Amino acid sequence: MRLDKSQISGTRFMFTITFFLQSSALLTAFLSSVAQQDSWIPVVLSTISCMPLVYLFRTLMVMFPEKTLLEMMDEVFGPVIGKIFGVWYLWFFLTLAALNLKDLGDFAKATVMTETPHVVLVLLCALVVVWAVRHGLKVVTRYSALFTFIEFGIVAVTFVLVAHQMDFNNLLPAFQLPPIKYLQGTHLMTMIPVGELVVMLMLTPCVKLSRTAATKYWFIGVTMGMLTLFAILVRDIMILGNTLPMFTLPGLVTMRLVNLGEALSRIEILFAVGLTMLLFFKVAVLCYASTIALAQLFKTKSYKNFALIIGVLVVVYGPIIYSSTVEQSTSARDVIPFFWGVFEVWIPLLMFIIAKIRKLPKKTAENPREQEPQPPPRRRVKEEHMK
Amino acid sequence: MITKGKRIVALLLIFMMLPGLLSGCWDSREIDKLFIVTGIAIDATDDPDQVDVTMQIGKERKGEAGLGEAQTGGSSTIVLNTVNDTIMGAIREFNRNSNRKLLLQHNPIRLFGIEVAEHGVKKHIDLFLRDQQARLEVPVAIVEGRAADVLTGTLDQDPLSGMFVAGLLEDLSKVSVELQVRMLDFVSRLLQETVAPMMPIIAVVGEEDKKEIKTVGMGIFKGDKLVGRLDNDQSLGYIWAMGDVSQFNVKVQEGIDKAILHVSKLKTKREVTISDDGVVKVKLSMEGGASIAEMEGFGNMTPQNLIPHLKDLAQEEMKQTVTEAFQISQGLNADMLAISATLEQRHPKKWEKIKDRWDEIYPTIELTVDANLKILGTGQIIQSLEMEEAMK
Repeated sequence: MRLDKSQISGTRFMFTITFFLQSSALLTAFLSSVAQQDSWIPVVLSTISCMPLVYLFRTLMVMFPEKTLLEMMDEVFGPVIGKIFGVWYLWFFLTLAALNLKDLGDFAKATVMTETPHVVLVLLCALVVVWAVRHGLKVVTRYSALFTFIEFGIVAVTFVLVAHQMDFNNLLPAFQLPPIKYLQGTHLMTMIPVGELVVMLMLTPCVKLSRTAATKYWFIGVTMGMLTLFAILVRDIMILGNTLPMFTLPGLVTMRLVNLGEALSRIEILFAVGLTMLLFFKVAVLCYASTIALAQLFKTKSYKNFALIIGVLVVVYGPIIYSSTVEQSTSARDVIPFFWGVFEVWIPLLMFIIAKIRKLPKKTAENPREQEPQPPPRRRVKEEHMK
Repeated sequence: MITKGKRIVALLLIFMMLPGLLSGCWDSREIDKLFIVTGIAIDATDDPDQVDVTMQIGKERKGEAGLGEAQTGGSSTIVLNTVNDTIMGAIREFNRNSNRKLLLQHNPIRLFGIEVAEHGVKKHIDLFLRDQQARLEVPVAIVEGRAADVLTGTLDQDPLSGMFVAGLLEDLSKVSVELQVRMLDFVSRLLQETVAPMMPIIAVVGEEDKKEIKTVGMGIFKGDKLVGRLDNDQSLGYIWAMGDVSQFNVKVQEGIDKAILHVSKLKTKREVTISDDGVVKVKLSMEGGASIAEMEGFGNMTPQNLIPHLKDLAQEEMKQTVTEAFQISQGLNADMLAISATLEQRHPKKWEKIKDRWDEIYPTIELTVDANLKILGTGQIIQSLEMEEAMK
């Protein structure tokens, strides 16, 4: 049963994927500590190696067009195991949301609002997120295209502004690290930003796409997101060189180096604005997924009242997950990519295999994915929104 | 539909929240509560565990703020000085004894006294890398003598001496980026271990009431310790070897005849080769366009053979200057041209084999310098007055 009756277009879904990946710009610091000046290589390798995973998500989406991930698991694994997995996924989404919200607060506190208490920063963000989630996916993803283009714009502008400081030699020597480093970097990039796209399977009932369109939007969305991360990394490596792994926020340091005469300098606020926007959006999508998951676990007809509960949970949960940022970054680099794999690869893959063996979904009704969807009449959408 | 009652409650709530949300924030900082730092100087003390920290503050109006131990340095600046075991400790002390907070974000220069530079600067730069306020693009420099003298002295050139030094280095960076060393550049070389960090050296010269700041060369580091220096002329050899130099002069002299050639752009191509037995050879090829800026003598020459002759003299002068600077660095066993970095980037496998022996290899490197200048113009006149007279 669909809890959120709102519907978004394929294009908006694609930009949601892109923006979700772009929001992992903070992750470049973890990657550079692993692969140093070769950090761009794992991004290229993971863009290639993640494609089967993206195809798996896309396939699950077209196999179960009207179902969220939790409903798919109920159908494939049965209600008991499905519910157990459902609770796990709820915890997974909540943890991701809490960690990203904490990152947002930490970042704002460290760079632009040093005196403001952390809790105020995250609380204000959580309030807006809760408001958006209550209004459905349409509102949560409304500015995905705009935000994506703003992020593209910020990356492009800074690329131009620091171009004269770039040193191509900083990318050298290439391919000289032990292979395990590239493997670790590729695994990190595949598991953390791309694997987290499993959360999109909580959104897919609100997207009406044909098989071809689903393939197109998934792959273009992922490619655009990974291209942005690649551009950010190459820019930072060419500017910061061997100092790159030292910094917790290399992008911020790069932007601080912009100095074109007296007039055009100190534009790091662009980075702050961009990253705040990115993390806010990611938190909103994750909170939306958590809210829907919670509502489906409790089999309620409305999810809206759960939004505030999720909002409160992510605010209080974030600060207690890790005792320090060092512990968090070590865990993100060494532990999380393996642990998250269970949620991002193994359970979806198992679900796909079992669904194929059990010949699910049962063909009881016509498959809406086989036909190009017709956009809903405007009046109807408006009526739904008014409800 | 939202009922009218709910709408009114929502509006009331919004109005109640507005004063809290729009009236300011925790991070508000007013200018009358700030000390804008215009220069930081780090000096050594008799106790090696202590550091002498001096900060110059740009004063917006005279006679304001409780300063504690502060002393006024001229009419436009306040100079704060203390000895502490860390720089952060010194900043805390300044903040404690003042009703204003130090604002480091606009600090344009960081200066190290020569004694600190000789003992090692590593332990004094962590704060400048770590602190969010401290920016990595801020230039660094060594001061001949005590760094505090630059910030405390009354200068003829500019009362805000910190800003003046920053401006001076900024202008030099337009000639070559190597002449303005940012904190990031210094740390980048420091992290490369085999590469010698460089830092410009400035000095305060002149009498008590008429002091001036001048650049006197470049300091060469081995690790984080200053081990040697190049004077201003030798520094030209360094920047020519590094390449990408704009707007500089080459002075050539032959007996009593002399000329200044103005080079508008110089590009240097570097070729570093390493044989299997670890012999490293470096070839520098400099190319640029020049014009005659000033000339005296050469009365025995015709305009036809003057240009090739001046070109040969200038090329020879440039080769000699580069070779001399390189020999100084070899004498110090400090790789100021970052040849080891080029080897690591271009020949990583061979570099791995020799990197532990780099200190033995560096003094044996064979350097070949080629210079190719094109004389593009002679200015408004072609010949010198002596040549005009000789033709009569």
